[in-house]
Formats: sequence, structure tokens, C-alpha cells
Amino acid sequence: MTAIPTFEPTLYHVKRGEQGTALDIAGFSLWYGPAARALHDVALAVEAGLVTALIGPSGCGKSTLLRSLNRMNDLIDGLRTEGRIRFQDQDIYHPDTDVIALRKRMGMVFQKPNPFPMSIFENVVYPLRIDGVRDKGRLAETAERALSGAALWDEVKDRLEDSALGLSGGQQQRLCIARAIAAEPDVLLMDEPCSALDPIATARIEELIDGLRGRYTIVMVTHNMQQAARVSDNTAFMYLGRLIEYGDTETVFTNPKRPRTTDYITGRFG
Amino acid sequence: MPGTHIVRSYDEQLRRLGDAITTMGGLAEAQLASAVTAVGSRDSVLAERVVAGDAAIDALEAEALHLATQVLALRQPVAVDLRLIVASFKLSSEIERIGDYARNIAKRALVLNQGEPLRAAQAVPRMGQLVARMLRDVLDAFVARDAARARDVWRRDEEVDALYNSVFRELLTYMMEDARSITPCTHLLFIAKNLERIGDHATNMAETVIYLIEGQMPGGERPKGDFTAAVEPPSAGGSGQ
Ligand SMILES: Nc1ncnc2c1ncn2[C@@H]1O[C@H](COP(=O)(O)OP(=O)(O)OP(=O)(O)O)[C@@H](O)[C@H]1O
Ligand SMILES: [Mg+2]
Repeated sequence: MTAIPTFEPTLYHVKRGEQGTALDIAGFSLWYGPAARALHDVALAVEAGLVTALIGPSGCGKSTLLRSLNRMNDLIDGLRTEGRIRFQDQDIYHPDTDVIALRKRMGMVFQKPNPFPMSIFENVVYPLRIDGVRDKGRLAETAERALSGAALWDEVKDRLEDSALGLSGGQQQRLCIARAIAAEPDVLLMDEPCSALDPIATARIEELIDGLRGRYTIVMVTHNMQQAARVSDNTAFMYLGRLIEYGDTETVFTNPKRPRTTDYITGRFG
Repeated sequence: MPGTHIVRSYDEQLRRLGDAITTMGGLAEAQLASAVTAVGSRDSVLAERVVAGDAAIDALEAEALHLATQVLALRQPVAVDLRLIVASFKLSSEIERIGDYARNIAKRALVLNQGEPLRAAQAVPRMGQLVARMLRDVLDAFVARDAARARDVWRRDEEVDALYNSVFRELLTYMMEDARSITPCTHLLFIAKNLERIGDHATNMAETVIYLIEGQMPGGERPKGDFTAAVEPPSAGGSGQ
């Protein structure tokens, strides 16, 4: 048996949080089919309470890695993984892992806002509803806390019973973040959360992410280099299913160590 | 150097910025050489030309600042591209200062040329050549992105400082020997000091070129060899027994 290659942080200047490592990914590989390997021995330690950006060209495996973290990939036929992802001392891919419980601790926000066709209020308290919570006081309290946390409360507090589909795209995305927060997760996984938004709405989400720092561990996929540079503490650059470089965002954007990273972030031919 | 950008006009803008810095440096190099020659060969026509020529360096500095600002605003440069912008701001202001010193040397040459020729003036060309070579080498290092050559310039500052010390002592001796030489020798002293300062600016440029290439300023203490601040003025002699 060969040892699983673990992430070697001294190779890189990774910014360290005060809360230790949230996700420890080691020698992680993923196949969508026998001949469709999407991830190659990825090793990465995600710091708790910080914002980690995943960047890289289209098809390099960012979404695949993100979805591996809360086992969203499980539903895909023929999927196979190797290696290990530890989340707070729990092996995510261990057969005994309670996947439902795991996903509750890792909220997910997608590229296109996906509010349910129901009221703003019901959207936010949805995670509590499926847990069977009926207590009106607790639901109302959670709705206000989550909507405030997502910087949306002031804009919607007088129309909580209106349909969520009537909100603007940016508001819908913040509603989805509120819904993710309502479940009180430890980790927020975001896959291109601003790609469908205008610059003002994008700035609001970025401001929101900044405010969530410290309380949640955030892993965000983005195609917007400036966004990664603005909001993240650490940046991981992936290429063809491999992790090429991982380090504190400032270093990655001012003095990347790998030529491939330079080519990508400066917009050069690889 | 890394490859070309997917957006070709970006490469074009960066190339123009690099060219502006190189042209500016070349002009400063020529100005410096002419100013030193004007002192050594008592050529007032040449000195006048240097005084008038400084405006061209200032104009190029303005162009470099404009190009660098444009890239910052339009391209949001990162990594080596960002470092080129930062380096351009620094290099252009260093070169602009070097141009000012060259003009100052030329102005003093005009004054010196009105008086008698001085034996002491021969020390200036030696120092001038040393400093001019530093400037040329640091510009070559910039163009070739050659960190080793930049480091070599960086180390040479010590030599300039040492030469300045010896020129300084030599001029003091002349002034003590012959009181009539005090005014022209003071001009020469200032010229030597200007050359020493140009050496410092070339050294700063070398640091910036290293930063551009390696992403970090060179570590460790800069070599230093200027001890003239510790030399007691001649009138204070005898009290230090
Ligand atoms: N469900 C799937 N079945 C088979 N192959 C897949 C599946 N999802 C993704 N892939 C393949 O896996 C590779 C990585 O895809 P992934 O979606 O993770 O890339 P990405 O980095 O998120 O790209 P983008 O920036 O375009 O979103 C690609 O080659 C893709 O075609
Ligand atoms: Mg994706």
C-alpha cells in the first residue's frame, strides 16, 4: 500500500486561520467513468473561518472538487473516488458517514440563484421545515437572523410573504445564501455565485462574503480573477484536474510560483 | 519572459511602457556621459545642450506614468504584469532624478569653464564612467530581465562610494594647498556628490529590476562604502588627539 500524499503547506505561503483546518483533502482523485478521470491526487488544506477561492480554466475540475466536499457527486452513476477528505476529523467518504447530516453542515450556493417557487419567508426557513420545526417564534427568528446575515433583511422585511421569484437576481442570490445560512452550516460552498449578477449585485455579495468571514468556512469557485483577489484569503489554482498552486491570495496574485499560474491569471497562452 | 497575452493589445501596451522606460534610461545615460565630458574637456556648448536636454527626460517620464496608469485602469494587471507597472513607476522616477543630477553637473561645468583649468577635475571622469556603466548595465538588465546583472550593479555601489571618498579627500587637499581653488573645488565636490547620488539611484533601479524579475527586493544590507560623513573638516584638525 502506498501512502496517501498529504498536503505539504511549507511549500506554499498559505494564510492560516485561527480555527485550524476545516477540510483536509489528501490524495483525492475522482473518476466520472472508467476512462473519465476528473481529479488527480488533489491535496489541499482548507482553513476554517477563511475564504478559499478555487480558480482555473473551464473543465479543470473546480465544480467537481467543490461537489466532492459535500458528496453532491454521489448521485452520479459510475462515479469512483480515491483518497481522503477529512472534515473536522471525520472521513467524508467513509461508508458510515451520514451524508444528510454532512450536507446540513455544508451549505451550497449555485451559479444561478435557485429560489423555490414559494414566499421569501418559506424559502429561508425551508431547511427548518424539512427538519420538522413548527415553532413559529423559532422560524421567524431564524428568518430574520439568516436574512440579516445575508444582508437582505432591510430590503425584504416588509414583504416576507411575497413570492421569492419577484426578487431581482442579486436579491435571489442573497436569498439563497440566507437559506444556506438558516441551516446553520459550518461551511459554505459557492459555485460561481456572482456570474449571473451585475457589478452592483456582485459587490453586495462580495461585501456579504467578507462579513461572513470568520463565522463560516467559505470555499468559492469563481471565474472572475479580480473577485478571487478581492474576497479570498487563499487561492487554489487547478489545471486539468490537478492542483497546481495553493497559497495566500496576495502571493498567488502578485508573485505566483508556477509558470502555469502566471499564464492563467495574467491571461497568457499556456 | 512569460509568453504573450491572449489579448494582443495588452502586450502592445506593456511593450510601449517598457520602451518608454528604456528610451528614458538611454537618454539619461547620454545626458550623464555628456555632462561628465563637458567637465573633463571644458566643453560649454555640450554643457548647454545637456541643460536643455533634460526636458525630454521629463516628457518621457510623463508618458511612462500615463501608460502605466492606463494599464492599471484598463487591465487590472496581476503577477509579473503588475510588477512591471510598479517597477515602471519607480524606475521612471529614479531616471528622472538621474537626469536632474546630470543637468546640475552640466550647469556647474558652465561655471567651472569660466575659470582656470583645474588638475583636480580629472577625478570626475573616472567616477563618471563608473556610474555611467552602472546605469547602462541596469538598463540592460531591465531589457533582458537579467537578475544576475542587476545584482552585479547593486554590488558595485560600494565602488562608487569608495571612489567618492578618495575624490573627496583629494579635493580637500587641493583646497588646503591653494585657497583660490576653494570655489571651483567646491563645484567639483558637488559634482562628485551628484555622481555618487546617481550611483545610489542606479542601485535603487537594480533593486527594482530584481523585484520585477523575482517578486522580491534583494535581501540583506546594501553594500556601503561612503564614510565621508565621518571625516572632520580641516579647520577642526588638532582637536581630536
Ligand atoms: N456529470 C458528469 N459526468 C461526466 N463528466 C463530467 C461530469 N461533470 C463534469 N464532468 C467532466 O469533468 C471535468 C471537470 O468538470 P467540472 O465541471 O468540475 O469543471 P469546472 O472547472 O467546474 O469547469 P467550469 O469552469 O466550466 O464550470 C470536465 O472534463 C467535465 O466534462
Ligand atoms: Mg464549474
